Amino acid sequence: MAASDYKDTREPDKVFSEMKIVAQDPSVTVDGRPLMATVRVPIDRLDRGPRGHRLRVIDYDSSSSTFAEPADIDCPDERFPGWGYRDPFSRRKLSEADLLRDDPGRRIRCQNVYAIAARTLAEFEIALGRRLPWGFGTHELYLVPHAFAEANAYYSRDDKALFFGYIDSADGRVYTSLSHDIVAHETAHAILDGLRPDFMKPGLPDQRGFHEAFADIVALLSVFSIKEVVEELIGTADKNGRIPTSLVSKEAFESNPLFKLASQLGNLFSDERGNGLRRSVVLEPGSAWRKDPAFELPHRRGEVLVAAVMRALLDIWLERLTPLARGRDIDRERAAEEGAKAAKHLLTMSIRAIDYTPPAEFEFEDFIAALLRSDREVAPHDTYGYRDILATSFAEFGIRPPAYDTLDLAIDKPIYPGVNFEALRSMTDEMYRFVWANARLLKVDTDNYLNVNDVRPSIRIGPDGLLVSEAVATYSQVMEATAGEVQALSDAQGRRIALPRGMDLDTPISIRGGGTLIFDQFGNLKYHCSKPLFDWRRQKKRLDHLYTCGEKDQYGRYGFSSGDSAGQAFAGLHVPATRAGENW
Amino acid sequence: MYQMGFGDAFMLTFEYPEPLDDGRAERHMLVDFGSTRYAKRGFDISGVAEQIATDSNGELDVVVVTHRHKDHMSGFSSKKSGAVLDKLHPKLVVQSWTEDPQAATDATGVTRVGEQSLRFTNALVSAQALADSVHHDLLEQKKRARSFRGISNELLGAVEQQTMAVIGEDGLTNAKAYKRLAKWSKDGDCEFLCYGAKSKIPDYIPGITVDVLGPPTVDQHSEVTGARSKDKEYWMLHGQLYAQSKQTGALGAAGFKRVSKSELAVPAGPVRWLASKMQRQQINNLLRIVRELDDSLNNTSLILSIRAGDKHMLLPGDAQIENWNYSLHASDGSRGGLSAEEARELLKTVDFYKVSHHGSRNGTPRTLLQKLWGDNDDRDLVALMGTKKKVHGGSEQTAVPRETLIEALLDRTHNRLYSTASMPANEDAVIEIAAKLSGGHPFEYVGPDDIPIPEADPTTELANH
Repeated sequence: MAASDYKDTREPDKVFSEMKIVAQDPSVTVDGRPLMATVRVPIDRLDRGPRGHRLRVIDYDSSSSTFAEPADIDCPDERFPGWGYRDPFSRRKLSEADLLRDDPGRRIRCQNVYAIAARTLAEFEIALGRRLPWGFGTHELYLVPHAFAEANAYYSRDDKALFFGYIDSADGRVYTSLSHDIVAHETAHAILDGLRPDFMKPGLPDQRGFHEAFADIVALLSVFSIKEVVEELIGTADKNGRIPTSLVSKEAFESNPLFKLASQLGNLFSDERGNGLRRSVVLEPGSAWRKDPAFELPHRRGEVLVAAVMRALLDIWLERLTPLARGRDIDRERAAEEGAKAAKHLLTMSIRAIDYTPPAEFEFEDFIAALLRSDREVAPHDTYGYRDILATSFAEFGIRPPAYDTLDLAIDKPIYPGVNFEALRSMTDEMYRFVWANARLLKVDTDNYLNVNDVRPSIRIGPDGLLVSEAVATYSQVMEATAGEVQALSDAQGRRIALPRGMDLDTPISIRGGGTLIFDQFGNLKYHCSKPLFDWRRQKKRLDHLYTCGEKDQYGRYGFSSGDSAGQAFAGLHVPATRAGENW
Repeated sequence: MYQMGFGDAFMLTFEYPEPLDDGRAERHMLVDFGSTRYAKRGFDISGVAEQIATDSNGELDVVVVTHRHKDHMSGFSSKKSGAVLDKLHPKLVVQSWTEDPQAATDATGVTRVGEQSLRFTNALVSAQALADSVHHDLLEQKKRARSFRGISNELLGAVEQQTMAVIGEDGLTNAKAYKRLAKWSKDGDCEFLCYGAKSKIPDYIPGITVDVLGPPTVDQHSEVTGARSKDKEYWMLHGQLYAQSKQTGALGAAGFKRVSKSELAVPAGPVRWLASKMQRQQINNLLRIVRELDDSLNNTSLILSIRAGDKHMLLPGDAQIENWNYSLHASDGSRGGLSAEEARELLKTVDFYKVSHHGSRNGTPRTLLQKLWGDNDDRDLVALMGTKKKVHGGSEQTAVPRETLIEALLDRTHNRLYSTASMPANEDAVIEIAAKLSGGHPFEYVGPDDIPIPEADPTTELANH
């Protein structure tokens, strides 16, 4: 057979389909039309909805109790039904009215939530090198683009769903499902809940703040990693597509692109959304927030973390622009591209850091520690100085990596008696064997509830280009007792804690601890981030916080659950920003 | 302060050393008179009216209605208690600008009540229509159905409470109460106040200084309304959807009927599973929306600062954070009244505080209690609170009164926080506080004897559901 006769009739192995989304939200327009962007989402067998194997759009409106049949999916190849996706809007110029009216708007909104959620999930899976479970144990997350008439959108673990509301105002109908940042934000809540389910349990003030901050960071970086958006934010270019270099300074960036973005985000929902982002941009560095009672509340607290990351983003962007910014002007598209790249890198770093955070008792310090540590593993040579920039930016807000009171692996050698390395990489029981054998070394208490929650393989490409296969495990600890018993125990250990003023000795309380263990490719422990159960300084801080905020369950117990109704844990997170810090 | 259960009725009496022009040496000002839940079964509100008549010696100089919630005005609509008050011939009726935006514009001579504010008052009317309809249906359904599938009784109770507070004794317009107030206004005098307006109260009670610290109009401070609740369209949409869901039986799915048409319209399988879960959540959503309306109305509360001699009294009705924010943070003084800086200075000197919104979590801003008063701990402060436990709030977070606030108030007042929840449930029960207006004497507690301070109560279940 001649070489020219050879013809491969198979479809090339596509990894991504392309889908058009609203780049930010319908209010952001270019030449009078909403700014759209085309994003890549992982290929999947798509069913009507759209519906893939992890995400399913269900168009049910509970306020009017109407159900809309899912639209047919057009796929490019009839031989492989459902594979690939032919975007009906790819070549179409869409007006704002198109997005809002029933046809074709309904279908666009369904595609928009699917594409953004799928893209966000893919970002996480690529960064962490594995498939990620949802927090509710089954495979499909429902996306409901017209869930109810309310200016709200939230994730509900109990309902396995992201709900997006809509409202009417004097200016017309507004859909949360058309806001890129809101969809990415809620998807991030769902993914984080799968990775760190205990972050929704009553904890230190930082912990709930982190859920909100992390979702904001993911949303903001996700929007910012779209080049078209950054271009629009930088400002108008001259006819050669160039902008003056004066527009690419730290001051100019702070006052222009980032501030503009933050003020646009959530603009449609003036008081409830986006205010945190707006405020985080103008938040002055310093550690005054630690003493301000307003920052006891999760929403306000989260702003600090968002501010630190956003300032780092600007510095990284500038760093990347330095070689380009010679002369009087600079190519706008290139400048935007560098901004989008910086955002994407920072997003990947932030996601990767989650594996290195403790599974419980989280504090902001743990995030910067995890960011630095996880990045050092994958990028030992920090070409653009990302880590220094991040460490500086966090330190400016008084957040520095803690010295975990754990082991010096050079001196304290864990033992592996009878431990099977292969099983250690995948089985919680085997991991428990390891923890049990090394309990004293790891300073893990075995008298109280102790459980290995999960063991996950993580595969990444090492700096030498070869595959590195590691394992990540988390364990948690719980002690349930009365306040009096806990106090007596701390006393017996020589660190007697004072109970919050007015707390009864008989009050049932639940204290928590836990840790993250990371094993290298040889099955050796290389990292232990630990939150010991009997760290009395931390336990006192948590108890004071829970008591001050009145965060107890319906039986008056502290530290067990937050007392939210089923499905409502995230529903009330976006309170009007004016109330943050003033409520009791 | 009178025993109104979950409600407010409060009288300020000023005694003068010499008789004034009309020969009386005293002046009386009644602030609010209403309840949504009496202190006990068979409580007769006209008994309280009689007590008011006794305490005012038959003559009321000023009646203030802070806002249009039943727990602040039901006493004016009741035939019996209203008739008692009629005989006291109130001379001046004071209300919030929202009750008559046009009159408020004229009265102040400053056109603060602009288009946005008018839009908001229109929205409130649509909102009340919705609340009325929800409330009516809930009562109907309660009569018919014994159990509510999938919905906790706490939640239903909470929705009922919220809607009940919003609508008046006699329907959504509080028609009877307003008719009575209008008559008093016509026979005497009236005013509709917004932030910074000059009040006529000192014309009727000589020697005192009145500052109106809320509510701002929407034109003064757009944040005073909820995020979207200033739009009529917002409430109309909810009204439409609510009517629609009744037709399709969506609320049936939420618990009133066994199987609803709307559930059958959804394909069996996971979609129906989700739809039914969402319908159950709809009650939560409804609750949030009604609460938003509730908040909007609370934020139309008058906040009055009254200074007499060296004493300073703060009467905020049910004002919530959004209302307070204008005086505490947002006012720059250019739209009438004090700047926030001046208002904060003024608020620092308060000696007496009527706890806002029955001790709820967002009635008393932390800035006020922790910063302005907390930093001036040497100044004597006494607080009164009209409340009843286990009426509002299905969870620890929403319970009224809010325990964490009570703790902080007890702390700052050095246990001088007096609550109607701890006083006898009689019609003639009155918490009395008095002070000399010169010489720096603190407010003294007069009676009744042995009133305990409010204690934190760990139980959160609703009393009657």
